[in-house]
Amino acid sequence: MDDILFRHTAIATPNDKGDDFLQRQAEAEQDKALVNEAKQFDLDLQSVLKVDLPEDLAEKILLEQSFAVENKKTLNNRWHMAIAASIAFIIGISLPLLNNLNSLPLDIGTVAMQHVQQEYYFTAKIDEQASRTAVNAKLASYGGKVQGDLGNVFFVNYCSFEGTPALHMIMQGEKGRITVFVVPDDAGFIETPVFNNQHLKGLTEKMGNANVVIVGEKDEPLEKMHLKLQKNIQWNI
Amino acid sequence: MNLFTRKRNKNAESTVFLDMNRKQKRYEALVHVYSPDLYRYAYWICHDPDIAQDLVQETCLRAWKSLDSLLDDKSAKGWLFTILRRENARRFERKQLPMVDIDDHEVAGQYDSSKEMENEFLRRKISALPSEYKEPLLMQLIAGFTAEEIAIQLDLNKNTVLTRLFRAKNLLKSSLTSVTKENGEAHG
Repeated sequence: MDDILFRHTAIATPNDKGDDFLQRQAEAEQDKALVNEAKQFDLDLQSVLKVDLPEDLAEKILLEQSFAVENKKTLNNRWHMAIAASIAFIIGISLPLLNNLNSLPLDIGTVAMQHVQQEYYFTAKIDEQASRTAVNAKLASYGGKVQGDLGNVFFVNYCSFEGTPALHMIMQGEKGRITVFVVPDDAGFIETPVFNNQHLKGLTEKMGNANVVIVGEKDEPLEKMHLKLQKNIQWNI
Repeated sequence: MNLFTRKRNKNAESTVFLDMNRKQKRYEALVHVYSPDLYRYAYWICHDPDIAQDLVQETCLRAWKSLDSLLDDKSAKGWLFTILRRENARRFERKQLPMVDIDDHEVAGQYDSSKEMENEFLRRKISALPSEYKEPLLMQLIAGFTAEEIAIQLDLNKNTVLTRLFRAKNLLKSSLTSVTKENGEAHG
């Protein structure tokens, strides 16, 4: 190790443990003195550099970190909340759509028969003796007007025909009571000209802007009622 | 079957908890061991106690966030100082803060001993060192890095680091002797 390199090493890194460097210190007293002087200078510099620390530095750092962890937690929660809210929103949006999908394939005959069955015991006894005026007052909003005699009308009122406002009439048939629905034709039901199930049967005909649905019991000759309605009600087109 | 799954879940849960705990312990140890060095290093590169403290806070927070990427605890010190230097560089990117001259608030009143006087001059000279000399010096004397470690961290040749250390110390020493000489002359 030459003089220049030795001097450089002594000043730059006096604690160097290289063999060459240590050997020169061991061989020459003045080299050793130079190294010791450099070591002392490093110590002096170190003591100068050792500025006072802020009080509780480490505690402050750890506190900051615990805040950050808490923040992250709340942020995470918010994230979960956002996802939950989004899912709820999507469900809220899509449920009515699903309902629509489900309700699309309903046919008018099935709905009519269900309606009649549900109210069977109620309609079997009712007799409000509805007058022609009363029938006409309600029928008017569907564009119909009774001209002749419809026979006994036990009941006439608006009803909810699977969500659609319809007219519900109960009339005297040959054998029993006959239910007549007047359903606006824009309600979107599948039109079934004739239909039946175990107990009931019926037919549908388009009259004016409405579908007239006639439902009676199995042994009821519905055609008669059908003709009666055709003959006695005039429809606006 | 039920018993098995329950036991497994419990184990999984407690390992997660243990991991969290271990991470926290590891972090606290790092903070306690290295925050003084980090602070002093920060202080000498920015010359402001408050900014230095902020820098160390930010450094430690960043370290916490990526603590999992620190695989070997032996490299923790170098890793932390690298983060600190990056944070400092970021501070300058954000905005050029006015440099506080250390003379403004460090010098106060009289010094009763010549040793105190000498230290004060050293302080001023260290602050005034160009950063390419100052950084290796601080890394050596505050953090205790070897020349090789400094070379790796600053992405320099080892000989360059040695030269810069040599020059830095020579500059400080020569200014010191010239000061005492001037002093001597002034009084003589």
